Amino acid sequence: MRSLLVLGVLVIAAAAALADPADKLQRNFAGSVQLDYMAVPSESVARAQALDGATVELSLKLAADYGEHLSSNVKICVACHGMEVGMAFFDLRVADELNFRVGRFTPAFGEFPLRHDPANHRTSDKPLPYDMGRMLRIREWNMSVLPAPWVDNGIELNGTHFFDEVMQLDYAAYAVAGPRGNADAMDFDYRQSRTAEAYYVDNNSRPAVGAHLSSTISSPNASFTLGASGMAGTYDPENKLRFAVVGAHAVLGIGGAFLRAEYLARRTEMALGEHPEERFRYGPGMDGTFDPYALKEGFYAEAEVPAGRLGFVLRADGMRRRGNVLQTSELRSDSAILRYTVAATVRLREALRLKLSGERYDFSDFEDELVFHLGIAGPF
Amino acid sequence: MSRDPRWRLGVAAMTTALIGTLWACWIPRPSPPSLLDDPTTAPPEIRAACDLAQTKCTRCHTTDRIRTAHVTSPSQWKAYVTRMRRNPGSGIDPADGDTIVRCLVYRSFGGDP
Repeated sequence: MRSLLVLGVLVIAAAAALADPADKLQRNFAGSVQLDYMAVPSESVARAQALDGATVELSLKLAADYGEHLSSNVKICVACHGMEVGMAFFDLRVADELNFRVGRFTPAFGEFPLRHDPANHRTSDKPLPYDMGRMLRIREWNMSVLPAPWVDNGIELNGTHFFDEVMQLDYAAYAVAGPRGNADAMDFDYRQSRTAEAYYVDNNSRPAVGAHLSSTISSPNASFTLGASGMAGTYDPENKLRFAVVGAHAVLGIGGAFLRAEYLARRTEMALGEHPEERFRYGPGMDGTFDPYALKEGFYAEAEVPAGRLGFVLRADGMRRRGNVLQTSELRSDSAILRYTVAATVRLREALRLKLSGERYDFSDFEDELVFHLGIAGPF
Repeated sequence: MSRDPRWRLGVAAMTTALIGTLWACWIPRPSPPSLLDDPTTAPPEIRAACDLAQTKCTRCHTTDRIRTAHVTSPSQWKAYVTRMRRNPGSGIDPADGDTIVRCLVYRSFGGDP
């Protein structure tokens, strides 16, 4: 990781040397806010299973362009997790096809993270595979497959190329600090990624690496994108517990309406401990050994249709986890959630939207639930 | 889970909804509010440019982002759109980028860049 950071610093130093003295610094400020109330009418008190009630999500972003080839972005996000730096990076763009990104950023993965800002997507919450705190049974499931935005420190090489104004090819490859967990972990510990207690440094001095590839075919009124992403590494301090996340996405856009679908899967190694027979609920396999891996999959498919001042979203999403569980877990060796969402937005006045949605959760291990959201969101 | 009738019902409902929505894409529906304050006074090429901006930009964000952008010069719109078009899957090639900039500059400053 140290050598990567040195490389990053060298890249930025090269950019500074390449900068044209005539380049003029241009700053652009953008922000957004969402106030959302989440009600669970099927429970008298939902606090035990969700971060319900009212939440505020605020983001403040400053982008600076230092001429044609160098830019920087800083973004502060305030939400349930407190104040966090969501972006603090430099981009050195040699050409459309070659860009070096260094600092704190969301590495390229899937499609939704590009729209993660609540003023950019039309539902109050995120699709389950990317949920970051608003799903029911958040603690039992330990959140999603890859909470968005996944913010990390590192370096990314990315680029885009257009073929004959019809086809676009995008790529990215990166090395970041990676997710964190304890030496005896069963899964990622997301709090360790956002607490100064553990410092904002790599917990095992080994980067997680990943890549993204997507292709888009477009015309003035329609577009179609297919993409694939992957990230792998270790997440414990001893550099022993491995993980790998893969994803695929497809987006079809027709005259302002969009159909989107994504699939994510994460294979995570669990620490067996000295006495796995006491630690785990399920016994060893036929060969007498305990399987140390859990597989968490997630998907969403959604349709977004604008109509004048209104916008409508139909979404189906879900997650499935397969693998052994702790004795204390409320999940089983094969657990699933399905969720169906109907959402509408109403543009009240310039830049201010009312968000309404109803969701039905279908759990394999718990009672089914209904959830309603009422929110207001907009950029400024 | 796969034997659960609710799962099959859910998949059937999702498939029906997606096919229905796809079909709905071809049904006439109200146009979203124009990016231009008064589209009737804008030249046809600017209206076409703004239609393109509406289609391309809403892939990742609402047009409210455009309405609230703090842009103080045409060159800043150029830099802004260049940054956006380099996002994965933007579908905004350099020529489209120039067209979108023409709309945004007209909208903000009333003229061509």
